[in-house]
Amino acid sequence: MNVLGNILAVEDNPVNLKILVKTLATQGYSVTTAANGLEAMSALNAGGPRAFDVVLLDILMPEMNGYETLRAIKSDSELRELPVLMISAIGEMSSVIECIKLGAIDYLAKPFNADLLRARIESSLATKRLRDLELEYLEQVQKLTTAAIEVENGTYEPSILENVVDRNDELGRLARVFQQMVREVRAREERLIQQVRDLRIEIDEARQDRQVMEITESEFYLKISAEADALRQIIADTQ
Amino acid sequence: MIAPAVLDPSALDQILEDTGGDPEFIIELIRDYRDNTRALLVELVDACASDDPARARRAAHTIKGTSASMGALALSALAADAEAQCLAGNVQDIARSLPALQDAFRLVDQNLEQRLSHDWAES
Repeated sequence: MNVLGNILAVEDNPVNLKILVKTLATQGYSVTTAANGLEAMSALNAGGPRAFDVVLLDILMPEMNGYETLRAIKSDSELRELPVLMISAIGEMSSVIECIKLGAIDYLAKPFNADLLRARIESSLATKRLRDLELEYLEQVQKLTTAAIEVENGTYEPSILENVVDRNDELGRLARVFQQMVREVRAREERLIQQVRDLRIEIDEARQDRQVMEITESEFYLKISAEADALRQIIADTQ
Repeated sequence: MIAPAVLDPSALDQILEDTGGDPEFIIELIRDYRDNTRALLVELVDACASDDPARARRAAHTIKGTSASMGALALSALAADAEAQCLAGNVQDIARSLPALQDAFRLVDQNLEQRLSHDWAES
């Protein structure tokens, strides 16, 4: 079965965690568990921002509670886009509101309803995928502007646009046109450099010819040459 | 008002359905719940004896949550009251309600035992 997403489940209650993990696994998710906020932050920092798609976070936990963990995630530039779904018991609505204000995407009441769990996770995953696409787009726009600066500075390397030119949208077309124009300008520059090089060779050859001519047409040369011809004739006559 | 059920059977049936229908999992879960709740009741007694409302609250909160998940609604409701008393700082009031919590757990334990032997006889 294909894994639908990677979930970090943070819950100190081992019985509820067991039910949660098994339910999520049955639904097709891959689950990593943490018994408190400290363990959750270690897993997030070890795995990096793309290791998990959603965090399910309990509120009341020892060591580092749900609020502290949520604050830590939202203040980390690498992790802040990660959707966090709070897990709370019915009757903890004020805590849930506090967590939503701190940046949690939604909440889930305990005991879990499996269908609601699936719906909330699917919704969080869809939001994350959209946000990931948005971030990727902005990152690639940045690559295009960096490429333009590099062209101006003469440091442009086509590899910078590798993924951007593969896009099937307007940004991809813009990148392909940009890359083609840079390629044409570079080819034109190279042709021009070759023409200048050829012209220099011609100039050098003409200069050498002129210098030879200056010597061979001089009075002294003509005199020496005539004397050499006379000497050759004498040698020929004596043989 | 209708008193909450000692053990709502639909809760375990639902867990079984949600987790792929594996009876072994339910048997293991029930064992974990019983061991865990026993330990938490001891923890609650200790916390009350040492006048530690934060520790007592954590224990009551966990009993409330797991019992609700397992369908032990009466025990969950008593644990919820105990948690509320901890939040109000009335640790001595919880001490008075400890026997009721322990009795409620004994009933849950017996009901779970019956359910295990009737529906999921351990091999």
